Amino acid sequence: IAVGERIPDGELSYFDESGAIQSIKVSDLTSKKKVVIFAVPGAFTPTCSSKHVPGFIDKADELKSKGVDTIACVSVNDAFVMKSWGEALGVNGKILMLSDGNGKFTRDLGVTVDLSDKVEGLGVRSRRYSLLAEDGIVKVLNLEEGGAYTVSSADEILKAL
Amino acid sequence: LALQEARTWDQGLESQFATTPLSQIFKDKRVVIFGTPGAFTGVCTKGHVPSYTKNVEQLKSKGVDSVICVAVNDPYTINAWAEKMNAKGKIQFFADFDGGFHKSLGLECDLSKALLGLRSQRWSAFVDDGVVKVLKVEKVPSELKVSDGETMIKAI
Repeated sequence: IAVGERIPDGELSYFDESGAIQSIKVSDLTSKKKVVIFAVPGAFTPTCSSKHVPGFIDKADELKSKGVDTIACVSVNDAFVMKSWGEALGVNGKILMLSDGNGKFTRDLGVTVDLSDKVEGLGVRSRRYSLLAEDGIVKVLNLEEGGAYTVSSADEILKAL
Repeated sequence: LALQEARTWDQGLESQFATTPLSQIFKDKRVVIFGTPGAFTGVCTKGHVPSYTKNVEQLKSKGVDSVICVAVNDPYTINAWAEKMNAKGKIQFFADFDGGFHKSLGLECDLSKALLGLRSQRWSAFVDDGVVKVLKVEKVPSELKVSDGETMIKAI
């Protein structure tokens, strides 16, 4: 995926406020909207939990005041894990915690990182990134190598808005 | 074949993400082990794990050395789940992070329709020095009829 391209369609899942599991098409998520999507290699891992998600929780209101309709977090984890992790981090509805359970959306974006030969027990996951899409077209893309945390923070997206 | 003990990332770093060989878990030990299809999912959290955490003493009084919960999740997710259930000090949790352990037992299960991907059946076993003495596998992973702690106490 690169700036200027349309985000490939895909299906992600999440738990809604009533506690029901839902599927959402990426095209529906992004169509006619200004959407921030950021991805983490793994729920319940340090940088993801202590820096990346909290950064977006902190800046959520500011992002919304600049016209962002939806802020979504994506990870190659199932929806149950994403829901529980979101609760543990105090997301409180500010971020849509989306599951790319089988990794297909992440693969279609071309942003996988294969951690299978590493010892941490994570397998194929997503590289860390954040992006801004308007009506499905990528306007800003901050993609990290693997799980590094240098350009993909909420602050960087704010600067671009 | 190995499993990863449920732990935080920092604990993993300290141990250099060491895996635990099956021999270390099973050799010369009497082990009750049960498999849950998914951390943080309904039956696993509300039914299956509690049926073991509240029966640990009964199992130990039958000579069981360890009670272990295993799931096809990464070790950090399982650790967070175990802590959320207040189960961490009561029984052990291991991660079959790539599903290899369950495949070797023929207990893998495709739960893609439930948006979970390749996981495991719901099952329980009593293993004495590596030999399976009791094995209970649910007909469908959403059920909890034969693989719970109470049934295991009676079966040993």
